[in-house]
Amino acid sequence: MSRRVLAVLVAAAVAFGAVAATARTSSATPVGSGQVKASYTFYLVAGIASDAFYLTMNKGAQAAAKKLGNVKVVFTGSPAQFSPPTQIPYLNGAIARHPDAILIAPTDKTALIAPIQRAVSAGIPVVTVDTFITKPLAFTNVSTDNLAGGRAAADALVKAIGGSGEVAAISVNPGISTTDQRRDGFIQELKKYPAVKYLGVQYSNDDQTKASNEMSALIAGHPNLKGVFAMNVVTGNGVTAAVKSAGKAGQIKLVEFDAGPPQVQALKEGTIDALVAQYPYGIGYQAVNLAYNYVTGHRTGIAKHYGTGSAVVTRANVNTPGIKKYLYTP
Amino acid sequence: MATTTPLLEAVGIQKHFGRVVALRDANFALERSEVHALVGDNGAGKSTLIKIISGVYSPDAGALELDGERVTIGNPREARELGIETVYQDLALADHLDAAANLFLGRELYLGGLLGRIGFLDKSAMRSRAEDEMRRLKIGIQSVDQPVLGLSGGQRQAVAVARAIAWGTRIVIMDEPTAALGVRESGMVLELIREVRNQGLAIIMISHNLPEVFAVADRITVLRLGRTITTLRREETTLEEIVGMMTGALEVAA
Amino acid sequence: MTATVTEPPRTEPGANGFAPPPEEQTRRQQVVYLLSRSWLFLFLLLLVLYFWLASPPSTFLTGSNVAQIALTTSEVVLLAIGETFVITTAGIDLSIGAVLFFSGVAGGEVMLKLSGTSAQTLAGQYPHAWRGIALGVVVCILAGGAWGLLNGLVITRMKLPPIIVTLGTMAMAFGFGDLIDGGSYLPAPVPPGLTHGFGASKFLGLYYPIWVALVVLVVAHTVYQHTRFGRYTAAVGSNEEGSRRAGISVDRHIVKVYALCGLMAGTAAVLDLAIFTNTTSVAHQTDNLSAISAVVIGGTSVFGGFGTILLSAVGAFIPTVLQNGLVIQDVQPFWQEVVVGATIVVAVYIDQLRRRRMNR
Repeated sequence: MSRRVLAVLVAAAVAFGAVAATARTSSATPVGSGQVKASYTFYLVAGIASDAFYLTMNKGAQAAAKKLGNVKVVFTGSPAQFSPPTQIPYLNGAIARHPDAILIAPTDKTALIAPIQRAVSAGIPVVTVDTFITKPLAFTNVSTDNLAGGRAAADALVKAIGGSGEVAAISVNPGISTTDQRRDGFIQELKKYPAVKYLGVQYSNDDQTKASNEMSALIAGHPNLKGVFAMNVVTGNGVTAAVKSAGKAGQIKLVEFDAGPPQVQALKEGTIDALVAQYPYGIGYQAVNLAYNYVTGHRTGIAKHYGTGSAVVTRANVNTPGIKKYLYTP
Repeated sequence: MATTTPLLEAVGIQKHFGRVVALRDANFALERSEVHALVGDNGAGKSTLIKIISGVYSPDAGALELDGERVTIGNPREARELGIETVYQDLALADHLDAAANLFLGRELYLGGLLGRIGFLDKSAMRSRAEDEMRRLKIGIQSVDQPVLGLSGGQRQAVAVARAIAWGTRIVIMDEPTAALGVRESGMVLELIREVRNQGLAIIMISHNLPEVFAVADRITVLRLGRTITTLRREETTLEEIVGMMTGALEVAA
Repeated sequence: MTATVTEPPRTEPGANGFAPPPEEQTRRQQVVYLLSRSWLFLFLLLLVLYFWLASPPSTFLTGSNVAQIALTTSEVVLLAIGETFVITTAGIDLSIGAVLFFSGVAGGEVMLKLSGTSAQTLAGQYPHAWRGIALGVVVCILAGGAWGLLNGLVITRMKLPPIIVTLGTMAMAFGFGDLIDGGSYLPAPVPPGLTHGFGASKFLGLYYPIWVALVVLVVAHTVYQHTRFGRYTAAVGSNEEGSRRAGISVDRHIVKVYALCGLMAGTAAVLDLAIFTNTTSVAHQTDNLSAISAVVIGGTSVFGGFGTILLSAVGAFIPTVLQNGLVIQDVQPFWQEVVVGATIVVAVYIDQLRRRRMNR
């Protein structure tokens, strides 16, 4: 009996080794004390590793690394869920590897404080990208100006519905810094349009099905609903599906945050009327450069925050080169 | 002629379920220290009769007397309190527990003092008691510590019987004790039944296996269509005669 | 005329024929039995060994990394303990993650409301933190117990299958939690007394939450092995009808077992708040799966009757060790999911092999 079990265990171990060897993406070298080294390794910990937004961010990061020449960026993060319990184990793994810097999109303003504190205490400088935490542990933050993005979304939506009517919003979770700011910017800007009635905001918990159900309920409960603002990719997917299945594509105007391929497709088809595209490529690119400056000793002049822009993408401008660079390409 | 009062006597028992009449006129007398077989064809009422004796059902008419005193047995717990235990066909053993645990199921021994009061079991005491019980019945089991799932059919039956008689029992009811067993194991169980009788208990045994009945029973009661046909001592009858009475081929004067 | 009867052959004079085999066999069988029971623990050690050797030096087997693994697993261990008792009764509790979430919300809200005015807590100040934390912890645990009690009562009184009942309470607990929080985040993080002072602090080298999990583990193991409660749990799972006939109040016991599971979820909620400072329903959608797989990997039978608390804890560690090790190995995140899933299958397969050998 033990022989058979041993055989299975050995087979499993071999399989392990094979997978690890082929799937390995890098091997980090331990951190030095800050003087210029031959090569550097940065870990990019995504909020969720399967989201077009972060995948595009990684592309920008890899491009910056390539340009610098001696930097390696390792992309990691949970592919399953955007939440602290799923993200922290990946952060822990990154910390254990002692990279030269960690770039992270924290999935919660406070839950990630203790883990990021550990990174900093271990001598690993941290850049927060996209989202932030409420304690100034990162030496800088690179993110979209989400307030401005929310305002831009409000303008685009009002324009799409013709200046008056009922509108609603679907966000992700109260507590995620980015979507909260988008929501706040949206509500703020709507006040400029007295002819537009704001029905309120709901939360999808980053669950496509939930977003879809909430949208369907909105459609059913408000026959005069003219416009909706969906605040991230997952939410947008659910909203689009609900509008299509209710047969209201084109009647209810949709503005969505983020411009992943399905969103761009829906925009071209006419289901979505405008996208507010962030510039994740730019975020990744800039974050890597900032980290490189920091670890090579050029720390003076690094600001606490860098805002990257957003662009409103419509059917009219989607193919122009100026807009194209904003589209997410996983 | 028996002059002592029977240990258990059931007189004129009737029981029906809706329109189905299970027992019309069942009579039964059990002596001390005997193996008494209840035989009859399917539907004769054997199961119903023992369920009445063990408290699962209440009779619609008729009386039960224990040691000459009239008793009502309202539920299985009361039957147990009167010293009547049943070993069902499915044995009702907890397969994953060991023999000692099964023996003491529901009646565990606890450690002394505070620990015992909050529920701590005295496993070593139960183990040695279990070994004693097994030895008393001359049952050999590898270890009372192993899950009974791993025991043979005959050994499981033995554990179930040991459990039934370990608690000051006077009467043990056994429903088809050798039904699922092979020849050799059946033989062991029959030997066990004799041993239990030799220790002073009375056994009511339902069985379809007439050769085995003739191997072990002291007296045999035949039921047919809810009625007691007759009760005979084993020496006074033959297998063919019993079969005849079960099927109605042989008429018997009441 | 008496019928002819053949006496069955006797194997030993005077004995009943149930002869015990020689002593040596028993002892060897005992050793094999023990080894096979702890194979999962050996498997875990093998995993640790593998990652230690395969990772760059000072990355995997450092004190801080191991502490992090243990911290992340402490919640699952508690859930797995509760679930072990339930599964041993041949039941199942799918609501355990939802109950954890609800208890966290309820307890968290109490903590915030009692620690200061909403203006204060939103600004990060907690003037009456200790009062809030103390009561909040109690509310967490009791809320979990209440849901567990509900599960047990509905299952026994209405005689519905546990899988359906707990599916329903799962939805309800998530729903109520979301209702209270209007979308599932507490308005402010819980007081630092709990998070910094407990969730992130160490006592004798181990984080407090790990101590909690350890203590509960030892107590639960003792209860399972040595008390009536543990024995009845196995008895009910092994043969419910037989237990009833033996005089055990089966229904009452089942209610107690589910209530216990709920209490475990409530306790895990305290750890959750302490470690993650806040709570969201998203994070707990698959907690039930983690708990149940830990139990199944550990070797507890889903058919009931046999449970093992210690091995459930080991089962809880296998996915987290795997994940940590694979991240350190820079294996792509998507591959990690594949490996973790495959490992579970392998572990259960080996366990089945072992079980079949045992029951020969």
